[in-house]
Amino acid sequence: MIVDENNKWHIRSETFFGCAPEGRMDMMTAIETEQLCKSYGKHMCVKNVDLRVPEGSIYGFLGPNGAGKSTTMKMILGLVNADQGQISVFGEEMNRKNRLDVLERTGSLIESPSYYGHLTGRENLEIVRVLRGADKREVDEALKTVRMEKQQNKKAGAYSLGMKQRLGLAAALLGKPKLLLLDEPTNGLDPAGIQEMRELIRSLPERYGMTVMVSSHLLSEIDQMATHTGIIHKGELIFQDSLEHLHEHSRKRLLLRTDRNGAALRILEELGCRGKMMEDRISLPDMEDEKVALCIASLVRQDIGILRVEEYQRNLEDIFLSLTGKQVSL
Amino acid sequence: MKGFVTEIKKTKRKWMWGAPLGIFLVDLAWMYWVFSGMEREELADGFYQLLMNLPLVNTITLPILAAVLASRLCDMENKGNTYKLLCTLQEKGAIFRNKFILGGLYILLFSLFQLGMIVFLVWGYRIPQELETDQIAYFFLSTCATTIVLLLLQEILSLMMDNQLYPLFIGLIGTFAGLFSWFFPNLPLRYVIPWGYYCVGCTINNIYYKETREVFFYTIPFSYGGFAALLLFAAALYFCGRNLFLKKEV
Repeated sequence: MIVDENNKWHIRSETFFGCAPEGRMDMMTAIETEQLCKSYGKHMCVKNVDLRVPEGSIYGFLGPNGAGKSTTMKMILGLVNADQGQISVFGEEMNRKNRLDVLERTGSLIESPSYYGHLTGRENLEIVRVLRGADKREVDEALKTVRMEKQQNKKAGAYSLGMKQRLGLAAALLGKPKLLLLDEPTNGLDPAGIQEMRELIRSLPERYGMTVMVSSHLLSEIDQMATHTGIIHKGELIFQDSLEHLHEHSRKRLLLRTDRNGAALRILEELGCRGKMMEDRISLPDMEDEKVALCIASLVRQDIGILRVEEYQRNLEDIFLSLTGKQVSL
Repeated sequence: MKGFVTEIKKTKRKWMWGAPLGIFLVDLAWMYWVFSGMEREELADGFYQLLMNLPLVNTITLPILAAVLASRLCDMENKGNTYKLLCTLQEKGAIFRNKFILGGLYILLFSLFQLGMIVFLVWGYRIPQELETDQIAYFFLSTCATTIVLLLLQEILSLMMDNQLYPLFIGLIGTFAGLFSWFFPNLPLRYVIPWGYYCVGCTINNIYYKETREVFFYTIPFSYGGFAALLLFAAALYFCGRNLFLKKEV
């Protein structure tokens, strides 16, 4: 990971693998993109995006509205042609000829749900089932998974938005795909619906061994669902790693302000506390109270005036904001 | 094949046969109105009169049928945002093809029913003129090919436009242009108005003698060259429309 002059984090392609902690090295990727670009007129909405979605993960694709999430997902599905770059799904490079073969193992729900309003929920699923060449029993399974058995014979046009989203998800589950792409699946749902959809998505990797890529502009949502995350802003992927790794950046730190920060930093280093300067303060890793007392006493003994000692913890929102550099929906 | 099967399944409760049936009944009522007031001797040329009147009626009704069929086939996709789902399940070109084949089948069935109507009217009004199979075949080919070209045109418009009122409106304007072309049979301009090809393909003509107040019906040769040109135009239109649809991002 590289931190640029604007304090933004940029990912090198080896982040997941090359620099990743042990154990993640063996992870296979479900989706891999290389230098993916798309522009509409002069506006470049996706810029050199290198996605790495590990197999079996729930990959939260996070970004403000208009950041390029849907366009990227549509490019992965071949619905939008990329200007430049490559897309591989389960190690197979996708092109016009093999697109449908590759997508055979992929289910999707992009933007608003797709449905035929004049057909019942079951009939809608039947159409997808025939096109997917899936077994007849799968319709019942999918209906059961999204808890729509009772409403299956109602016309889809009469469904609430939440029901339509669930129908869309059921359609995406037909054919038992290994990869699921869900674009803002909780959009327009009420809090109970959001909770239900979230639970459902969370259960998919375990129940069906799926990899789920889910986009959202809500950090809290991704935080509650995903195992990995990629943050896209103005078409650029500015962060990509495990959610755990993102959380590491929100660990507690101690901030120390003295009248002679340079000297204090040296003394602390001699004591085994490696700190770093953060504006006019010294940032130290969190430590036990006794050790804090020892450090302060040592500094005071060396005639260093302690101006302030404070505890600091960045939450995910702060991290997200520092990455995107602007106030966005959270 | 499964793409075509789903295309049929999608039309459930869409009353797709409503428009062809309605237009068939309108045609029948029109012909009944034309023939009911005829004298015995006027019916002597009844078969030719039928083959001349029906293309005129078709110029008014079949472009509307083509527009309605195409709109009903495509609008359900627009309304339900289904292209982005379908395009991950089947070739985009297959969506275009299946809609065209299904619409074409309705046109084919309608044209066959119209042939049945001719036979029924000749029998019902006891028209003495013999049924000429070659003339029936020319009428069928001309009606079917022209309507299929119009269906293709309307399908392209319906697939490219989200608001289905525009293709329907264009179809209506085309109907008027086609009807207009009947009044200028010698004007080459009529060849660029596909809505008027029912007139171009009509193999029956008449001469009206003012002095005796008699109408003389006669046949004109079927233009195989023109028909081949129409088929070529249809093929070109199909590939252009398909490519346009393939390029459209969903």
